Amino acid sequence: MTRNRVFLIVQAVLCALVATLLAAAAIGLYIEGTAGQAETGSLFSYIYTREKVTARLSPILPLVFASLGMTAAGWILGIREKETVGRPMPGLAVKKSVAQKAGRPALFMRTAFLILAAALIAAGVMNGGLEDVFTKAAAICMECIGLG
Amino acid sequence: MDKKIFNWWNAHRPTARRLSQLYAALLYNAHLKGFVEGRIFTGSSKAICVPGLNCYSCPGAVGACPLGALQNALNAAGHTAPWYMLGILCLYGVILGRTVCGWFCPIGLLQELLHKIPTPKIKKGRTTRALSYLKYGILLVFVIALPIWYGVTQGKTLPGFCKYICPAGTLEGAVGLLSNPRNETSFYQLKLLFTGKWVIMLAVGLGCVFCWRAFCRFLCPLGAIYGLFNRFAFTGVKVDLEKCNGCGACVRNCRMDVRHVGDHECISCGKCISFCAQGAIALKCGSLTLKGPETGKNADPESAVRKRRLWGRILWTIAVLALAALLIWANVLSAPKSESMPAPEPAVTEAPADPAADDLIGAEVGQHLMDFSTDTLGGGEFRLSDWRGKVVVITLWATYCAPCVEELPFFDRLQAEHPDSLAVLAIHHKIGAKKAEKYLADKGWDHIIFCLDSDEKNLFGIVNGSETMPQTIVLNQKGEVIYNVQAPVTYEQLEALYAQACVSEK
Repeated sequence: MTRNRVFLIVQAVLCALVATLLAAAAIGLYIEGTAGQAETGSLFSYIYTREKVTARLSPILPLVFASLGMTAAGWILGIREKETVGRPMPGLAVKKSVAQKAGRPALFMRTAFLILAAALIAAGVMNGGLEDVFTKAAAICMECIGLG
Repeated sequence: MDKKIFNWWNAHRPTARRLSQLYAALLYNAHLKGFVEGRIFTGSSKAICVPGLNCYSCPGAVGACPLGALQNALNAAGHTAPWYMLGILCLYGVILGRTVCGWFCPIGLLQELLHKIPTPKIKKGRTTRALSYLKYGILLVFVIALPIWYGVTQGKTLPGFCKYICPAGTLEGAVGLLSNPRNETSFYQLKLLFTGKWVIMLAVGLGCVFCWRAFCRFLCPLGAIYGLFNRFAFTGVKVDLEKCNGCGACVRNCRMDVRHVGDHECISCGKCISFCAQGAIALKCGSLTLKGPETGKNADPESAVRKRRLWGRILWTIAVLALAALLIWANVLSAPKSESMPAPEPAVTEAPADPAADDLIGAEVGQHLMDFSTDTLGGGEFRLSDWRGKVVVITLWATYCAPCVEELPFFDRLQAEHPDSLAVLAIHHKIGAKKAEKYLADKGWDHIIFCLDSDEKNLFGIVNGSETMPQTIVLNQKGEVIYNVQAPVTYEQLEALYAQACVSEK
């Protein structure tokens, strides 16, 4: 096994470890928080707080920095996996025709879809669709960002 | 040494595609002030969807996410047909196709940067090709079926993909907002949903380290939508069939799971152009060549290359000027009135315990809330000082905020339980306020006093409100704030807060 290969594997393990620890930190906080809620019966004990999150994430930071440092070292030293340029891929036969014919149907479809898009947008502006997009986008979408 | 540096720069300098990706990321997130203030942009440009995946709850976002907006439009399909969003996706699809993914998607950029971390990589093969169809399933179930089902049959807001999967929302929206100390109380809202989405985000990020554009290839429903347009989109990688000898070098060297150049998986990155010995491939927009073979057999004539570069420079200059204008507009000129206006002078009719101390007036716990008056939806007037001697509960809500609407019956019940010692005031956000009265007509929440916020009243500003809703503020009988948190509440919590307000008075 070459030195480069060892470097790549160590970095892979480090990345996987960082991701696992970050995931475990959140899961641990959740389990601990729900257990705490059940134990105290308090209606106002929160699962996540800034302090709890900071306390959980701080020990993982050195590993994150180590991974970043290894990434920088890899870039500087030019260590990366060799690309399999031009080699046949196992199980993926390249078809005879690598291109798809365009021509008239494409031209027809383009024109038809452009007209359709313009008509739909005009109809949407008139039925209040534009305003609805603004209304939703200008408020924080709790469901979208997973606050809950 | 100079030559070494020159060679290094030549090998590592950002490509036109990388610059376009960076440009798109900055263009979509031009509200840089939002990252500092921990607030999202509420300017009029939010009505326009950007072509790439970019969460509109990101503090920097100046436009709407097409995928989020589509889900909300489908959610509301029961009363408003989603023509606008279908039209927008059609327009982007037919003009750009999946060129959006390769050139104008901030999440695509992030995935490519993660893939640069030096680790062993997973090659494409049968498994990755099979997995590439997963995104169509996600599109059908989470983007189309779930929002329509919940919206039309249950009357509930549920953007399925955003809520359960989207790592862009978790990273840009949740982490972007929570990392700002100003949003400390938003942590209280985090429960199982966030835990799950956090794990998904990490898994996707880790996947991208090992596998080229893992999210884009296997999960992204926006890519799936644009992929449907790829065959006939104006912009994309096209093959000159007369020059092509069918060697297959393009498909072999492509990192996406393509079967043909320019098929539904092709993101038009243009890498195949350099692999084509025949010079048969070019990135085109209609009949205009954006990037073509510059060396080798069938290379474009030097004059054509020079002309293309000149046009490229002109376009880049215009693009940079447009970005500068957007940055100025989003960060300086379009500050919401409520932010730029000075807070109204406190009009406390009844002095607080220690009127000399100005810092006693505010919306933090322990402070006295500034007096205000507002007209109510019932036609009357609500003046805070008139309710001195009673517990006042204020909720900040909006018709389009699902958790807000879910908790309003609790407030109504609380008011019904304590008619003589409590006042519940529900303030609707200024955005969408016009629709609130109609929305409330058949709800039967008659015990709550409803009012609407506006730029002039700035009621949200008085109680430290923001675009993060719901928010509940509880005042004891002296007008002192005992609770002010941005999080949904249960009926039991409201009862406990009411009891606490009564106790803190004694």
